[in-house]
Amino acid sequence: MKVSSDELWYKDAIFYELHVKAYRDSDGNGVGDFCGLVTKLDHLTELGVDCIWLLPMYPSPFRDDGYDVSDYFDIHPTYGTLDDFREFLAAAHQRGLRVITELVLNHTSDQNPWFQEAQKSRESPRRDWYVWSDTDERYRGVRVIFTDTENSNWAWDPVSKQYYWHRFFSHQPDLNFDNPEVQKEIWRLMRFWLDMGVDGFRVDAVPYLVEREGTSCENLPETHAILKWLRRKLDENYRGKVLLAEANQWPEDVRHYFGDGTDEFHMAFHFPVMPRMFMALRLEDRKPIVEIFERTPPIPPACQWGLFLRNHDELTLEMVTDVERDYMYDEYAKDRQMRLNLGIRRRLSALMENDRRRVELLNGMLMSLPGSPVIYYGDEIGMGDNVYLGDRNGVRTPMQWDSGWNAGFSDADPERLYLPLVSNPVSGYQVVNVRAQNRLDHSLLSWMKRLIRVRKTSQVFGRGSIEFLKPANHRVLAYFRKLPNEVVLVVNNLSGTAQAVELDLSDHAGAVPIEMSGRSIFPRVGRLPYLLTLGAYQFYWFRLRRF
Amino acid sequence: MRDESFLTDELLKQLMAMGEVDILVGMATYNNAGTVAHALGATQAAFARYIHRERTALIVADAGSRDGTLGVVRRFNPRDLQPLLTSQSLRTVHQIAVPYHGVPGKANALRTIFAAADLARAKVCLVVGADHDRLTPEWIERLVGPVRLEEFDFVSPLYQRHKFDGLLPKNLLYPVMGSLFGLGIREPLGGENAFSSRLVEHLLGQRIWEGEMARLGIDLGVAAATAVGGFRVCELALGGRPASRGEPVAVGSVVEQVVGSLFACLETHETYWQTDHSKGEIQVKGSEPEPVDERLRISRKRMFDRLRSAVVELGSVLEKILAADTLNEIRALTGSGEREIHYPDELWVRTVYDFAAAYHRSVMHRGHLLQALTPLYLGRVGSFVLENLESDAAGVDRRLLELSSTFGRLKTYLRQRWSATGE
Repeated sequence: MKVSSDELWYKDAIFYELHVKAYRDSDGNGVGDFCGLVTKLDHLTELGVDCIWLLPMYPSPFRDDGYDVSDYFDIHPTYGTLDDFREFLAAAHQRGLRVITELVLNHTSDQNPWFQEAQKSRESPRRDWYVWSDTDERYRGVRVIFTDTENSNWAWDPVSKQYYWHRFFSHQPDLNFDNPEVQKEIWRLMRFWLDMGVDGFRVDAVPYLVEREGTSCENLPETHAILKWLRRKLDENYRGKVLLAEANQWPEDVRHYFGDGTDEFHMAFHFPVMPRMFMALRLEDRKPIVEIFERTPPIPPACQWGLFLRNHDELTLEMVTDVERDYMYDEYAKDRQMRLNLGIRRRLSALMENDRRRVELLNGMLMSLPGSPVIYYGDEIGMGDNVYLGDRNGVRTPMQWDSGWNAGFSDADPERLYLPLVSNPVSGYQVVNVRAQNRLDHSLLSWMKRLIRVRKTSQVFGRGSIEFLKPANHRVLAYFRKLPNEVVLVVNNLSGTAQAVELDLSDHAGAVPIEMSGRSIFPRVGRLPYLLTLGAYQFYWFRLRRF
Repeated sequence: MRDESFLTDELLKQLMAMGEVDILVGMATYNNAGTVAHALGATQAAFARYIHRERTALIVADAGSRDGTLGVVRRFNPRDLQPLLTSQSLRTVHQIAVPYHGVPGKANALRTIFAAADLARAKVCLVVGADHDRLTPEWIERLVGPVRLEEFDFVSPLYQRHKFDGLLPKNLLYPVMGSLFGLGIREPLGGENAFSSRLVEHLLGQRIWEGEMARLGIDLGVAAATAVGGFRVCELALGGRPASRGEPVAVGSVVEQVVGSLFACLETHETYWQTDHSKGEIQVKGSEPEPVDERLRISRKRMFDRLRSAVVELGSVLEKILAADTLNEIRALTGSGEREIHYPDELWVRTVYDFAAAYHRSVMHRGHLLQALTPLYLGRVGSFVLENLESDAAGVDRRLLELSSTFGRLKTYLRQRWSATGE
């Protein structure tokens, strides 16, 4: 199988986020590696994945799970070698899988030689690669992101006796993007990986690249100018690659990262949708979802939102109101141990209390709302979490392949694993694993495969417009996805009880709804309201066809 | 389901869409185009500010308005309030307008609201007035509390009044309801109330929705059924008494309706008050409101004139209703001068009980009987005002307690009169 030649491939793609350390350990040292990952690629192709998003695999002191990069031009030795990575890339491409990697460009590790050199003296040639100050009073009022651990965005460097700027942890000094040398170096490292064959980057923490006095130091025009320069270099040298922005901002702010549709990012995560999907489900009310999409500006045709339910971080509650955040905490994180920063460190299945119906409904929405879905590794089988592991480690435990030794993840002694396996009686590897679910036609994994297959029968999910219906029953979330030659009607029951709903489909009078998973024919649409009944948490995707 | 017959298909459809709610606020409207928007705004603001997590709904049941009330309701858009609100409800808030559909009156509107609350399994059902502009979001929030948090079934309002405001409730309803039903609430004629789900269900099953109780005044019917059912009741201090901006109603008509419904309650629940029940204290939530200190113009002369002329002109009617001693004493007091007239508590209690018994025995057309009470009532309140001109609010309250105690003491008299035949 070859990867598709369509340059807009990312608009239809199913993304799958994984950490190489968590996937499969081939050498028995307790940590996953690229050689192990290669052996599990068939799981991804069978699931229907189109693109793997690799979490940081660079050398790092791992004080922020690899987002503290100490060398951008190598692979962390625990994960393998550059040759191992090349082999993995080739194996993935051979299966039709694209691969994007992390581009952590806002900051480095304080162990990065660039910073260590800059730190040596104020005269160091690399001094100006970072942001220094004699006082911690500059850029006052700029918010601190990791509120649980940091009090300030400045940290004192006892070596050179100045403060350095950091938007994240104090061991992650921010690069100075006002320095053209830094920009060039970033492009050099991008080229390094692109030449090797990676298909793009998930670009970390993009709003924070540039600092200016008197501003929030977020989303500044100077930041956009740098990103546009990188995109121009990318387009001049490569075809069919993708840049995916991580900008945890309101949609109207994120919209600027798409530029004119050709000059900045191809994709950006739509962060505010995610908590609202969880909120809507708990409230049994479509209001949060409809409101956030109504607040979302249109994006250029070549661009795409990235949608996700869960990822390697906490379920972030930055883009919600205080009232909404309190509600989410009370409903999804009663135990304070589950809370971290402004979020909830839990996996999908745990958040849904292992209720298969709700897990399915959320995945159904993920796959049918406008954007490209991103599945977090393990969520396709309903893996559980361990909130007692500290930081976000509870959602980064080893993949559960089978019920045997170390869940089929590693041959090491269990004590050597980089994190303990989830082993509780409900979602532990003994009961929740790929092997068992592959054997059962009605397992979550098998269901996910079918769902993705159905999504792939139409480009309308990746490329179509969205139009919300507003039936009187607020527990029903219904929308059209439309392309000029195709209309799909999606109807979701957000409630835990059966619901009846009348939909105004009069504009499609005469059409015959075909339910997409079973291809069942439903009564022809007429001028009168179309009555549907849905079981608890049930959803339908109908292709509206004319004969 | 027993309530289906009086709910229209359209309303059922809207309730289906609304689904289960935690708090349902109902308004029974009748020609309230000038004030209903205020009530809607206050309610929606309460939803947004104070109960944004709960599943809430607002239902306006109209009793046949002809002034465009329902048009105002339908045009009202909660989004217009957004600039004034710092927060908003997390949920969709349903606002349902139920038009008049053949059965006029507050009883039907209230029944519709209760049925909606029952079908939607509302944990709290509030009924608030749409005929004034005193309703605040805070009132809504506070009304919910006792039901939601303290498991009360019925919350009755306590308004700030002038010491002579509300003389009918003070001289008749409060003491009778307290003495006979153990429900000494000071505002038994509705206003802003909260109901628990179990009380709503109970009330829907009562025979109060048709007949005289429904026609003359459903509020007392609801209060009496609540008391007889043994539900937990409290009073909640709200604020200034809302003055209805509705059309003024003649005092005779008010007395006829209110007393008629009170007597209907006595008939309906005869077996209850014929037996003695222990009388529990009604808890008051919030501080007892200070009385309003303003001049109130009351024409005692007109009141006494009405009493004097009634004793003369309605002599033959009153003879059929009142016991001979009662009538003689009334005749005697009308001989006093305007500044000396004194209609004592015991005589007033016997008057009321005689009328109740006569009503029960149907000694004459009930409408005529109720009309005959009005001048006696005016004489009594004229006397009450005269006697309490110099009293402060506490003094008036003490007098009312004494009156209440007299109503209780003479319960035996009522029982005798009630069962007497062929007088």
